[in-house]
Amino acid sequence: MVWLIPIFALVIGIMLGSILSFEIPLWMAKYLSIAVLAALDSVLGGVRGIYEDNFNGVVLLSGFISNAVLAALLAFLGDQLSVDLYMAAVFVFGIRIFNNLSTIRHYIVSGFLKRHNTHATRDGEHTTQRTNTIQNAINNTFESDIK
Amino acid sequence: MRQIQAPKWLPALTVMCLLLGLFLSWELQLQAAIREATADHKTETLVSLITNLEAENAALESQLAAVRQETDTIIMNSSSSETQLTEQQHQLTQLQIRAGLTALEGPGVTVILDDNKNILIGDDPNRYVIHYENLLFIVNDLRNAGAEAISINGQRIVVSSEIRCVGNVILINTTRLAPPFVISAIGNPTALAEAVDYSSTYQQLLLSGFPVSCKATDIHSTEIQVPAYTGSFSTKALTPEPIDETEEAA
Repeated sequence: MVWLIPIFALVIGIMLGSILSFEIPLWMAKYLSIAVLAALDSVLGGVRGIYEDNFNGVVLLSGFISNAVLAALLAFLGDQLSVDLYMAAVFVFGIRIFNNLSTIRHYIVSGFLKRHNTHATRDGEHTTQRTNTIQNAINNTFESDIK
Repeated sequence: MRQIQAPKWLPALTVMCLLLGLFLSWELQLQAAIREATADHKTETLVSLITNLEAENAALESQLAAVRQETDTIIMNSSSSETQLTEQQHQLTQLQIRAGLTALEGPGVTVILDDNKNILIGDDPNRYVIHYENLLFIVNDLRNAGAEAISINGQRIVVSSEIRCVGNVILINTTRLAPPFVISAIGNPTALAEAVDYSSTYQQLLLSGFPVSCKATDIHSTEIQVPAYTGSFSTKALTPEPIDETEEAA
């Protein structure tokens, strides 16, 4: 039930945000939306990292900050050039979020299938029974998808 | 869900989730504020517009009263010579007629424009209402055909009259008008009726199925009645050019 703690943190964050509601200037809307996307991207990237066993908290947080700052700078530049450059950041974050989500889904689904001792042969996802851990099986998920 | 390894990822992910919640909450608040602000802005504009118009109306009315008072005084004071008085009064009447300050009657046409009630479901409702342009163009066509006096729904069209659109109402002489619009025009009935018939606006409305009609009177009729202009004329910025004859009529 440890995974409940981040979810609680999310709820607490939302509540904190409504308690700490100061007068947010309107021009912030664009940047804040990018920050939301960057944070969502980081959270999903982190979850993915947990499954892939290469989770690194420092990398995660620094990645979030640098991504958010870069995206904000891009948005600012776009504003100056009157080009919707922030759409590029939204686009990239969107793609990353979808990628991370689909990867996480793969891990969850195959983990579930493993646990129930069934082979996902019909889906063509895992044609051979692997003896390794779930991770190993899943590392080949995408390759077998392509095949 | 790998509870054994939990402590490793927990702090960073918790912080991240906290941040996500915080930003999400702020962003949602901001978006709500933006929506509210844009809605507020619209109503504020309309409210200020109405307030301005009402202030304008009040100013015009008081100005009108003053001018009328002044006119009366002039007439009273100019009783030095009987002939001069009648001359001036005649001139005054003529000018008042031209300015649209008197009710008039005579032959002419009545054009009635109404909104099209047969709205197709899903179609743009804007295509089924009479717009201010329709009125303006028909008034222009009537003027072009030599109309001497025009009124719409009892609002006399004078030199300073506007036909404009504010939101979803039409303003004439800063008075809000609602359909059906009855345009009364005094002039040569045949010429006026012809002008309306040939008017592209009228034709277009007719073809689009609007309930519009145009009725001409007999040439000797006094059926068309056009009321006097009840507003006033703004002369805040005006200074008459000095003329040789110091003759003041109105």
